Amino acid sequence: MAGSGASSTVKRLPKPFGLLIDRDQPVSFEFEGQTVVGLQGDTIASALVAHGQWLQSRSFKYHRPRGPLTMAGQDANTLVQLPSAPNTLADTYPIADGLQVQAQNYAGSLRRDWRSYTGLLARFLPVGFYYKTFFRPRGIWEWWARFFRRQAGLGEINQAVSRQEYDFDKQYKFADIAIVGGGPAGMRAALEAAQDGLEVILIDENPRLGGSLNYARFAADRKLAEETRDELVKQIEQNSNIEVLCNTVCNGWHAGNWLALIAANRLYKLRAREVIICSGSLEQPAIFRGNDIPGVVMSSAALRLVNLYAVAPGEQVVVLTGNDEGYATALTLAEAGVVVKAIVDMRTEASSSEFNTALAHYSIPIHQGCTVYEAQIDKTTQRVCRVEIRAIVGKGECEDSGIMLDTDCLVMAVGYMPTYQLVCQAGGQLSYDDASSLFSLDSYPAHMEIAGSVNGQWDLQAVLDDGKRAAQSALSWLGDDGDDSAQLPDGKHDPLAAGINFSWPMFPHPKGKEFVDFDEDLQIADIINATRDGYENIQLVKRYSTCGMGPSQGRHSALAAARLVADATATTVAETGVTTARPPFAAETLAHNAGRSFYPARRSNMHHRHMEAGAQMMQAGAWYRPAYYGKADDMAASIEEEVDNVRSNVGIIDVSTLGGIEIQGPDAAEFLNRFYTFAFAKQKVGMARYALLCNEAGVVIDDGVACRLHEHHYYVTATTGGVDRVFQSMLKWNLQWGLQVDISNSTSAWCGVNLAGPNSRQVLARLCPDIDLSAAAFPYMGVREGAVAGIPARIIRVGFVGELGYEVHVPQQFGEALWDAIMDDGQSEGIAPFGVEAQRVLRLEKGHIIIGQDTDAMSNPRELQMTWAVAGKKPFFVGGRSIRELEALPEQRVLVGFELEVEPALIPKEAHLVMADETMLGRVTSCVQSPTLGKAIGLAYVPPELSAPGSELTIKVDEGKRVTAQVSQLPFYDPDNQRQQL
Amino acid sequence: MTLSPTNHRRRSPLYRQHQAMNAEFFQQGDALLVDHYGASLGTEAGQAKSLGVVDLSCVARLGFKGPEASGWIQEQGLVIPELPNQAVETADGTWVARLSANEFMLLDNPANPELTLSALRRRHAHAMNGEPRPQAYLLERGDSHACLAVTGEQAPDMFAKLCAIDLRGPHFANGSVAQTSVASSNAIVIRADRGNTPVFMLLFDISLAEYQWSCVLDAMQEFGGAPIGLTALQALSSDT
Repeated sequence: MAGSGASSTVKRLPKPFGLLIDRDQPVSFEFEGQTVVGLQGDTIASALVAHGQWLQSRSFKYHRPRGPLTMAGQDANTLVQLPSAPNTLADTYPIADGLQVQAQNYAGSLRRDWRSYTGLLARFLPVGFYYKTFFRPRGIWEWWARFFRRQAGLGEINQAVSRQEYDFDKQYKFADIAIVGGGPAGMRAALEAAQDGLEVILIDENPRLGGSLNYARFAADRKLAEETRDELVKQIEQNSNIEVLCNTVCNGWHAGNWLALIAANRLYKLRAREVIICSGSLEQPAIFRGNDIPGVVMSSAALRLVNLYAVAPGEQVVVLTGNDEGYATALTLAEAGVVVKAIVDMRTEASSSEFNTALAHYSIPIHQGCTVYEAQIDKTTQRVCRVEIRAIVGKGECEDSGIMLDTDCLVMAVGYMPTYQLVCQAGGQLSYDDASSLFSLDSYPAHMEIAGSVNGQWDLQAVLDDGKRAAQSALSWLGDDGDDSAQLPDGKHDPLAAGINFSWPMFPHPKGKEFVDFDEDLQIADIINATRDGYENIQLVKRYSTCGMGPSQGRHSALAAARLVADATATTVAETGVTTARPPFAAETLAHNAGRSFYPARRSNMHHRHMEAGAQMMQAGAWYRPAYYGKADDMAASIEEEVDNVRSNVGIIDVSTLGGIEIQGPDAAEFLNRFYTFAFAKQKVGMARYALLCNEAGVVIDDGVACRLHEHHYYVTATTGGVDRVFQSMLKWNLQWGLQVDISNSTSAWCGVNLAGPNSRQVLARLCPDIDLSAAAFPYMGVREGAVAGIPARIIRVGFVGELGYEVHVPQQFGEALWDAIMDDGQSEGIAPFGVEAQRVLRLEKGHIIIGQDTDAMSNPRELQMTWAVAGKKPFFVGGRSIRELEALPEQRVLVGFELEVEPALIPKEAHLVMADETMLGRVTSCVQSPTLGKAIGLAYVPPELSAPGSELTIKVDEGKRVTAQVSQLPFYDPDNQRQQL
Repeated sequence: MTLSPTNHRRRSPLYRQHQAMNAEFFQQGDALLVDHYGASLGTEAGQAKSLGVVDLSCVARLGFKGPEASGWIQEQGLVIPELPNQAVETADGTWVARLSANEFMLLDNPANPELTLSALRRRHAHAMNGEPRPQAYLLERGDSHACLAVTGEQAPDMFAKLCAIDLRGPHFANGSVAQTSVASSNAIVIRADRGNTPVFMLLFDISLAEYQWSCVLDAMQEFGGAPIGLTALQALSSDT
């Protein structure tokens, strides 16, 4: 370490300084491989500064040395690498025994980063350099992008981190009133709001309540802040209606007062009826050459080091100020025993504040009407060592020469910006008054209040009163009277606010390096040059220069950039405005957004039987279905075996995922008549009928069978992936039709199997002796209700795979017992399960289409050769008018069957093209090698002139090869339907 | 003798999970329910008061839907909630939840099995065989939905990790019904307290049972929650 090395005896300031540390609890950690001993309560940065180690990181672009700027996690100057996470803010991350910390973004060593020589090329890397340079020759950006990524590395992700360390999740929270900011305004508002049992959540990003009361100075008597804080905290702790969330960042406001809160590994989603924003203000830097050198800090950072961690920021400190805050800081430093070498006051008139009066005791030289023109770095310690002070002679202009002062810490106190982000995310407008250099926020929505310094209040009593006022206003909204009378009285900004911001704390230097945006290493010239390149709007300047696009999101650059753009474009800052504030407020990890993974997985009651039988599962929507049974590397043989067994014996497949919809009521048949293309009015009870569904455009969108269980009751099946859409469509249509039917989706209520094959009747007959399964008593497309293996069941005689077959549907929780019973009973018939892949082969052999695979967004019944399923004489059905109009037009394409005999590698695949020379004529929708027929068979869309059986199709297959197939009559297998109607 | 769910035709989709946790079962109707897990019988009562979950998937449930559903249910002597998204408990412990103006879900009392619902099912079948048929249609909610009872004071905090509805006491009183999303899937939550202990009936598509079970167990881990059996659930009723 610079200075004292790895010592635990580093001197700390005496009590009462050091609010957060436990002086009796040393904590040992490593920084850059060296052991550092801090104290319990220290952050990485405070412990390092206590050891004189200001250099903690390197900048993004020029690899400039960087150290703490705000000590509040508001900047990117202290991003460090931890084993578990890159880009960790050292100024807020607490140390722990054994913690290993590395600096980021350097090559060589942190102290001697050879990439810092990039800074020498700065004049050749103007704003917009990327856009102007790396686009030629074509494609070269890919190479440069990799180069820049290495050059501007922002830490490394450790993929070996255990799940526990990255066990992120989310949780909802609810409150009547949520208050963001646990400073004086927030605490006062919370106490006022927590009345009548109202639930109040008080959110603060720091480890303890208090906000600025923990470190800032509100009066010459420093006890005022301390006593005010202790009293407010005490009252809050005693109030059971207030829930305090410390170490919690409110990262976004969303519609309906939905707040995103991040606390450790959890994202809270808080819904509040009222929100009060007491987010305080962000101190702004002065802009001069070398303002980014380690040891140049905000006054609030110096006060945090002293008051929170008992760390002296330097041994001879210079204070640069444009307001009375600098005097308050100097007074605190002096009281703590720190040598304040000089106060450099930009103002021409001496401060009349009580702080200045109190400072008289310390005889500190004051340079009135002056600024720091340049800060210089000690090459050894990489820390500020000297500043040049010059008299200010005009707006941003100084005398030609000045005096040099040695220093090891320069404190800046030149003004603030309200922490406006959440308010503006809610629609609030940030306004700037060029005359007073003050901001104000207004136009934020109802059910939001703001209080404290974010609302322009600086005097402590005014801040407390404002918190109370905001709470009363929120309470009036909750009282539902919409009484907005509790708005601030006259004089929204208290008198102290008037001098809080110095109007122009920016001083260009001929050699540059006066940083406006520390994240992106943007200097004054970069912003001005952006306007000269034609980007005069602040939003365009942001995007062109990347100003405000780094981790700090413009917290310290927005005001300076607005001032510079206004000056360069001869407008006011008020007219220029600042860039849009969007969530997130602070950097958040992807893990926070991902949270706990929720991937709903649907399983039938038979699922584990499939697994036990060696099924390879596939997903169909959220469902898991057996693709085939066998080893993963033996897919083709397994499918062939399953197909053979269905054709020769009997197979069983789980069809629980098929949609099931109950249509009940006096108008059930009329409803189906209108909804599907077929006719259902005369369908007999106990029979099923194919049901083809079109949309209003006449496009086929689903199919199934409609089983009539009663004159007023149909059980309709739908495709696995389509049932939810079919169900919703049914509800929508019947809202218009007003038919007396009840429609309910019973998909999950039923668990089903399809028992298929010539031996299926024998198997089923032994299990349901009460039902006559003979062909005469239970014909093809018949439906029966009864018991199978003692389980209440619906049995449908269907033939999707082209064999004698029965679908048996039982209540879901009986599914596994049904499977067990059928498998046990069917052993003598050689029963074996088959999966979805075998079913696809079997149905293709039978020439049956699959909706979604063999149809697309244009497929109509005519081109699918399914006009047999359309009852054209019906007065109305969904899509009927379009189908009739389409029939009057010339046919564009036809789905036909084709067959060919080629080696396996040349078998066409789905979406392979049907070609005529180089002209695309159509496409293949399905194609398999048929184990039954010993050749490849498939379906393809072709022009009508190629649809006649025997026509030759040229299909372009893998590697651009072409094969010839013959159009064939459908179905390929059992064209007389003798097998399914056994 | 250890009872095995596979000896019964109706099986909870979660029976393997129960077996893996050394569940002791007891028979109710044509299925087995968990009495308690392993050696935890003595501690499950306390667990139920803090945070527990019971699988009630094999306890009977029925749905009635249609323009005449409310009238038909009342004709059977049952009270119904006045408004949708409310539930009432009948004298025998059956819960009647109103999901919409014309849709109801009835949850059997596991301590008083099938008494009310089996009678209702018989009467409904009889009515549907007559003329005119009432436009009150029976829905097999026992099979379409799985049911978990989540018990204990910490249940709302646990639910806050899975569900966007505020289920805390003052905001979701006994008898409240939420038709919402739990762990990114559709669910119905009914607050059906037992004694002084908050109890939430969590009903969801039964095909998601294993998924939802794992989500609930994962979410309750933080609060020390654990599965419990019916004995512990029923013991809550006497705790007033």
